Amino acid sequence: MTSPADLEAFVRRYFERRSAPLREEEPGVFRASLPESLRPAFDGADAIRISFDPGAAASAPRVDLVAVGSYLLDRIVEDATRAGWHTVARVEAPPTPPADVVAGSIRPKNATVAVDASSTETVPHLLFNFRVRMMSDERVDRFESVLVDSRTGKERRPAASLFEERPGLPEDGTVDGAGIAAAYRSACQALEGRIAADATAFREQAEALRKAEVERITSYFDRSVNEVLDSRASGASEARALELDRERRLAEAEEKYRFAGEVELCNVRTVLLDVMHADVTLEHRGARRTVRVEFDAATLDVPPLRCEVCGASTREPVLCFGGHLAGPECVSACGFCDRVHCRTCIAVEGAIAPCATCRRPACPDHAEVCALSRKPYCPDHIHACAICGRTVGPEYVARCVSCEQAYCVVCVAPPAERCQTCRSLAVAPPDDPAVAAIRRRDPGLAKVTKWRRASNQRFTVLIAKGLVWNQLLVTDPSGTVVLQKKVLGT
Amino acid sequence: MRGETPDPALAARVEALLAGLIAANLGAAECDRGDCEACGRLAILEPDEPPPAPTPEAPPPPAPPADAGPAPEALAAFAYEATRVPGLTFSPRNALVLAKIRDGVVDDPADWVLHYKARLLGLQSGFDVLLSLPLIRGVRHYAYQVDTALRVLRTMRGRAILADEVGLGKTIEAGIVLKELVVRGLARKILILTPASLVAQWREEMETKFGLPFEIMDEFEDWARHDLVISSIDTAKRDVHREEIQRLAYDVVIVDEAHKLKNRTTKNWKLVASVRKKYMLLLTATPVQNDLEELFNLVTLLRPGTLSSFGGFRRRFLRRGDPRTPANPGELKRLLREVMIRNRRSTVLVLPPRRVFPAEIVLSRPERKLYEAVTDFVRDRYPAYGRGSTSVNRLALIVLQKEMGSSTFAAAETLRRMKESPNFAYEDRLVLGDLYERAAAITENEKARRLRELIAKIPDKTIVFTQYLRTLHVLRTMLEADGHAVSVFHGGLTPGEKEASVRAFREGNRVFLSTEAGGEGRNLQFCNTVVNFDLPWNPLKIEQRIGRVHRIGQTRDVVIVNLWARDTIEEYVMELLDKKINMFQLVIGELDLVLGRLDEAKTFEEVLMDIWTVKDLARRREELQRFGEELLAARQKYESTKSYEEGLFGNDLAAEAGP
Repeated sequence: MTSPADLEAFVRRYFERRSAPLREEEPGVFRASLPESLRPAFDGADAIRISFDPGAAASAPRVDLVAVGSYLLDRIVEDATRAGWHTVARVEAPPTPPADVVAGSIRPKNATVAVDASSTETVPHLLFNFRVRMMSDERVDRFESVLVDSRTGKERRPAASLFEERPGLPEDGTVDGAGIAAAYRSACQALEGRIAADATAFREQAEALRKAEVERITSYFDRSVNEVLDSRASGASEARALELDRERRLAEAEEKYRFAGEVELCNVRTVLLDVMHADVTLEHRGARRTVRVEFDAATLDVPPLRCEVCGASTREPVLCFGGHLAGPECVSACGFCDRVHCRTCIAVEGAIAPCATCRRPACPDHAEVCALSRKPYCPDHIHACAICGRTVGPEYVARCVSCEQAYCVVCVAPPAERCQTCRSLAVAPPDDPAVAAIRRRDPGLAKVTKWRRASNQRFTVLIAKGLVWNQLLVTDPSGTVVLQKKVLGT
Repeated sequence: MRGETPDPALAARVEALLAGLIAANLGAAECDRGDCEACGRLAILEPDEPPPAPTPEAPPPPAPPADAGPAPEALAAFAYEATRVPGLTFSPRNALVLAKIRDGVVDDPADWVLHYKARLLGLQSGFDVLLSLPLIRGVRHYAYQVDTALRVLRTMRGRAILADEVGLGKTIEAGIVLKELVVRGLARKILILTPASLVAQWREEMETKFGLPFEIMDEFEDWARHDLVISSIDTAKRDVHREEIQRLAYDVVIVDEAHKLKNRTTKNWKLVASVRKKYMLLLTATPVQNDLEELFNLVTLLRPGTLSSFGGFRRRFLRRGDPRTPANPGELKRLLREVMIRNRRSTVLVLPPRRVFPAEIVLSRPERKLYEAVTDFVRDRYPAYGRGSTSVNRLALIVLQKEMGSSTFAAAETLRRMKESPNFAYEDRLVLGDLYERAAAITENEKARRLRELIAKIPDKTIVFTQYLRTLHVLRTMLEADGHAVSVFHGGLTPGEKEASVRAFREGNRVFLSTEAGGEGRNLQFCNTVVNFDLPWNPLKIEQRIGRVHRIGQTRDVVIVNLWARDTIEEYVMELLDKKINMFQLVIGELDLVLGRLDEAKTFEEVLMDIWTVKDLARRREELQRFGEELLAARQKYESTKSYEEGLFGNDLAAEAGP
C-alpha cells in the first residue's frame, strides 16, 4: 500500500525532474508543467492543474486527481518507466577502522576480539529490482530488491543508500554478459527463496477455493441432471443442456482461481562496492581462533558468524575450548570452572559430561568415571574407596555394618556386610602408636590390655576388648575418633 | 437465417464495413461457411478460433526498452525458470532489460530512481483496502457501501446479489466493486446488462462517477471491439448478439434489475447463465416478488449449488402449498448470507420526513386563453402526428404542451420556431403564428407572482426547479428585482461556473434557480426547501429533484412546494402522483419500483399525453381514472412485495452483519 506522502513525493520529484516543480495555485491544487512526453495524453496541453486531495480535486474546476489508479498517475508511471533501466553507482569504503566495525558486530560471550589484518577491494555487484505479481481471483504484489556479488553470486543485503540518486556515476557497467546472466540467476534463486512461502500459501488458498467451487458445481449439476431424468420423460435434452452448463461453469471456476505469478525485472543498478576483508581473532585462556569476515562499504554490515555446530547465524558466538565457534545454544559449560565446549567436542571427545546423579556438567578436570559402572560423576557425587582406592558412583557405595564407614561394594562383601578392614583386624600390642594414643586420650580405655587393629588408606579401626563388651573405635589419619561404640564381645 | 432473404439495409451496412476493413488491409476473407446471419454470404471477419480468454492483468507493464531488438537466441542466456514456486514465471521481458545492461546502456541515476519509485506505487496485498475510493468523483460514498464492496470482494469472491433496499445506491456499490477490480488489474472486459431505459443512465454514471468509459452496444460486431460494454438485456438476448456474447469471455458481468432473471426457463436467465465470466453482480431491490423459487433461480445463476439442486431446495425450504414462506428460514438466511447483501434503510439511513405543499394557481385570463388555445391545437394535431417524418412534429407538440405548464415565456420561443418550421403545414403555421403573437404579448405570469410571494415568506434558502432555461432567466430577473441573491444552475454553464454557483448558494445566496441539470449529482442538503415551479411529466425527474435535498446529511424536515395550475395537464400529474400514489412521500427509488409494476408498454409521459389529448372531457376523466387505478394497484403490489421481503430477509443480510 502506497502512502499518500510517498505518492506525493514521487510525483513532485517526477515533475521537478521532467519539467518544473509543482506550483501551488490554491490550497491543495497545483499547476504542473507537462513534459513533452506527457502532453499527447492531455490533448497537447503544456500544463494542467493537479491535486493529491480527492476533496480538492472534486471541488475545484479542471483538476486532475493524483491517486493510485488515476489516469494522471498511470500516465506519469508510464512515462517514468520509459527510462532509467540501468545505472551505475560507486560506494567507497568509509574512514571507520575495520576493528571498530567488527567490534560493533561480533560480540563473543567468552573471548576477546582483535582484527589482525584487513584489506579492501572494489567488487562489482548487481542490484536487481523485481516486482512480483501473484494472481488468482485476487492479486498480491511484492517488490523485492536483490543485491548480488557478480563474481560469486552471493546475495548481500542492499543498503538504503543504493536506491538514492547520490551515488550515481556516469560509468560503464563492469560486468560482462555471462556475469550478468549468472548474477541474474542467483538473484532469481534468492528471490524464489524469499517468496516461496507466501506464494505457496497464496496458491493453496486459491486451490482450496477452486476445489470447493468445483465440488459445489459438480454436486449441483449431478443432482439436477438426476432430478430432470427422474421427473420427465423428455428430460434427456434438458439434462444435456445442464451438462453443457456444468462444463461452462467448471471452466469458469478453473479460470477464476488459476494461480499465476509473474516476476518482472523493473530495473538494475551496477554497484561498484568496496568490500572489506578482515582476519578476526577470538581468544581466551583455553583456545584461539581466527576467522575471516567480509563486509561492504554501503551497509558496514558484518555478517554474523555461523555456528560450526548447527550452522545458525550468531552475533554472540562462544569460542569453545576445542577451538570451535558455536552459538550459545550449542555449547555446554563445566559447572565447576569456566571451561566451555561445543556439542561437536562433547559428541566426539566427551569433553563435558553430565553427572549421572545430578546432571550437572563437568569437564574432564571435574568429572570422574565410576570404576564399576563407567558412568561419569561430578566431584560431589563420586566416592573414592578408602580400602581399594576405586572411584565409584553412589550406587556402588556400601556402608560397613561394623565400622559404619562407606566403601565400594567390592570391599564390603556379603554375607557379613563387613568391610575388608574390619575383617582383617589383628592383635595389636599396647604400645602400638594408634592404641597408645587412644589409651592416653581416654582414661576408661587406658587399662585395657587386649587390642585388635586394622587400617586402610583413610581409617584405623581398633577393638578394645572388655569382659563383656568391647569398644570399637574408628580414627581418621589425624587420630581423631570418628566413631566409638560398644560391641558385644566374642 | 440461412436461406432467408437478408435485410437489405443490414447487408449494405455489412458490405460497407467489410469494404472499409479490406481497404485497411485488416482482412478480406471470403466466408467459407456461408453462415453469416447478416448477409448469408460473408463471414464478418470472425476469427476461426475464438480470441484467447482475456486474462485480467495489472495495468500493462511499462514498455520494454525502446531499442530492445536482440535476437531471441541472444536473450536465451538471460532466461530463468522458477524451480521452487510452481506457476511462477519470470517475464521474458526481463531479458530485454538485461540485454540493455550487457550492451553498456547507462541511464541517469535520477531517471533510475524515478523508475524504481514508480514501480513501488500501487503494490497490492489482497483486498485490504479499497484503492478506488479516491477515484470516485461527484458522489459521496457511505460506510455501508464500502463495507458492502469489501465483503463482495473479500468474502464473496466477487460474486454477489446486491439487494439493498431502494435508494441506498446499489449502482454506487457495484461501481465501487467494478472500479476496484479494474484498478487492481483484475478486470478488463466488462459487460453491464440493464433494462433498456437505464442503459444511458448507467453509461453516464460509469463515465462521470467512476471514470469508466462504457460503450453502448447495438451493433453486433462491436462486442469484440470494446472491453467495457453496456447493453439492454433485450438487445443482448437477440440471437445475433447472444452468440457473439457467448463467444467472448468477460471478467465481470453486472445485471441491473436482476429480478428480471427470476425465471430460469426464460431467455434472460439463460443468456446470463451462458456468459463466461469470473465475477458477477446481480442488482435488485426485490429479489423475491412472488415465491421462493425466484430466489433459488437468482442464487443458482450466481453460484449454482449454494441452495442445492431445485429438488433439494424444494425439500429443505418449500412448504407444501405455500411457495412464499420458507420451511427453514434460519438455514435459508445463513446460505443467503454467502451470496447476498441487503442493506436496509432503517439500519443505515435515518432521513427526516418530507412535508408537501401543493400550491394551486389560477392562471390569469390571457394565460388561460393561450393555454386553452395551445391545448386545442395540440389535441387537434397530436393523434395525426406520430409515424415516420411527422414524429418530429409530435415531439414538438409535447414540448410545447410541457412549456405551457412552465411559462408563456418558455412556450413563446418554441411557437416562434414552429411557425417558421417547414415540418408543419401552412395552415398550422398560420395558427402557430397567431399563438406566438399572443404568447409574446403576455408579460405577466401568475405562477411567478405566487413564487415571489412564497420566496418572500420562506425564511430559508430555497431551491427552485424549472425545466426551461427561458423560464429560469425570467424568474431570475424577477427575484433579483425583489432583492434576492440568486444562484443559477443549468447545463449551459461550465463546470467551474457550476461549482461557483453552488458555492455561492451555500455561502450566502437565498435562491438557487436550477434546470434539470441541477437535479443530478449535486449535494444541496444544506437547504431543505424545494419549489417545483413546473412539474416534469417524468415522475423520476421529480424524484431526482427532491433527492438533491432529501438525502444523507439532511437534518431538517424537507419542504416540497409544488406549483400547479388548475385545469392544466399539471393538475393531472398532481392527481396521479400525489393523490393516487402519494409519490412525494415515497423514498428515493421506490417510485421506480412502483412504475416498474405497471403493465404499460408506454412511458408515463406517453400515457399522460395520450390521456390529455383525448378531446372528450368525460372520456378524458375516465382514462385518467383508469390510469390512476393502475398506478394505485402497482403501488399496492409494491407494498406487498416490500412487506414480504422484510419478513423474509430482515436485517440479517446487511453488509456489516458479516459472513
